[in-house]
Amino acid sequence: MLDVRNLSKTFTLHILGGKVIEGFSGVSFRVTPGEFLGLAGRSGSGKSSVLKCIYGTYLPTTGETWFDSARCGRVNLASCAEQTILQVRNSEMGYVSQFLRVIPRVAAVDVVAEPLLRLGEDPAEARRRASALLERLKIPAKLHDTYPATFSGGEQQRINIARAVIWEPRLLLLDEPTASLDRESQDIVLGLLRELKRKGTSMIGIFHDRASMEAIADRVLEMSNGNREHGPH
Amino acid sequence: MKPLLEVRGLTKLFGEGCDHCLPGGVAADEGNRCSRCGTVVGCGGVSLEVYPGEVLGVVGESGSGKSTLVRLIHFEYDATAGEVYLNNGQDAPRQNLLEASSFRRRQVRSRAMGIVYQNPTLGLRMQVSSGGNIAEKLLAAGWRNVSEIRRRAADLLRRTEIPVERMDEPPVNFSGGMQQRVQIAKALSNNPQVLLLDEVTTGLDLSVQARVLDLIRSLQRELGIAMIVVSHDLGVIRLLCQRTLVMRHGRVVESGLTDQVFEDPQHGYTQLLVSSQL
Repeated sequence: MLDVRNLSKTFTLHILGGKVIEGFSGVSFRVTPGEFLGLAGRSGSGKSSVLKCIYGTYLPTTGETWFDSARCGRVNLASCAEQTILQVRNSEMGYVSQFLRVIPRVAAVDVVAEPLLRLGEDPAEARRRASALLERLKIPAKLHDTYPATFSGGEQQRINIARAVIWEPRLLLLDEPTASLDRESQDIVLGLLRELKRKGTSMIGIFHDRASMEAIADRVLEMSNGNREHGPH
Repeated sequence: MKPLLEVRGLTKLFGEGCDHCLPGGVAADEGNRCSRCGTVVGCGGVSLEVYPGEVLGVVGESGSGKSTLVRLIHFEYDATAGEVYLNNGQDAPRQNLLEASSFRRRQVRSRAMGIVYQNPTLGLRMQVSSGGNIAEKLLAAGWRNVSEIRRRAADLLRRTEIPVERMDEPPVNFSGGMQQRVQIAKALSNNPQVLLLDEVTTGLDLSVQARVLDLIRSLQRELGIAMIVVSHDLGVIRLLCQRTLVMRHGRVVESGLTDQVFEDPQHGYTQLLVSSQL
């Protein structure tokens, strides 16, 4: 499904006199369909940067990220055309960060339904499914038609997760998806992710909480000392 | 997928040029003005593609050539060099529109393009009724039936939230936000394949800006029109555009997926731009 080879990222800060910062280097791993790979390591070890390099938000400095796309065939996301990445993002690859980038003045239920509309789902059905998912994530019905900009951190995070899982992407990148959630919500989210995994979604996830990660990951890649692999659990 | 709009090496020099700066204008690292003859590079060798349904952003500081680029694509200036293709499937032979007859260019502009300017006085006749402004564009696109034109104008004004009972009033009577919405109605009237938006929210109050942006977003979603959005407001670009070009001194210094350009900018100028955001 995903084959990451010798990926590395350095940042060159031209506005600070060309200062070079190394994000991470020499990261290689494979993820098979329905597999969950956890990324672990200290803060600053480059875990988030790995996810951003796969998603195309960062340009990798070296390496390849081969993705078996249902739509575009086997593509190297590190060097393919921008249009290809956009197509893969629109139909196969999702990304959840710990922050909600709110679309201003769009109701919570529409934020969540949007990926389904993009894939051609009937608008009424998309809203119904979005609403059901929000219910499951314990977002009260009275909030569904309001703007998430005013929601609490935990509520925003759940909107974010709902938006990412509702369309069941083939590959899902998770950057601390449960960071600001209480125990109960964390368990609901882990339940949703497990369901997705059973349906064949591959995932790469970062969790600040080791227990959550070990509850769902098939394998864990330690980032702190280079690129050592642990597991299976 | 084939791009809808293709632009290759588009160049516009303002001035005669001299041995120092020809053929392409001064080198990018010298800025955009030739130190010997004063020729200014409005646009230097810009290439881009816009795919069907895509929104492409163009950012850069004042004077970086953003508006010049858009107006070259809209055939308002004569380009010094370059190629523009519109692959709309209607005409078999692929032709560089910059070499086409002025009749052909006008035809492409009237039938396939729409533009909205920062300054409504550029896009509208301020003393002519709003409905009349829209009718002008429809007539250029080949509409002839007066009652159909009037019905279409009323539909568009309703869509852009202008009270239809005011369609016979001239835009000079309207607020800035309303004028912008009349411009958008006019630009959309011919069902354009490419919509060019040049700093459309600049200078509007925040709440008015939000309404105009929401309108553009919903129109884009419903109609799937390809757009080029020019703005110096990074928030606007981030909200609307999948891909972004960064311009400086008339050149494209960087381009990429919008999130990549903003989160992992490669060029020093883009890094400065992104770090300058409030």
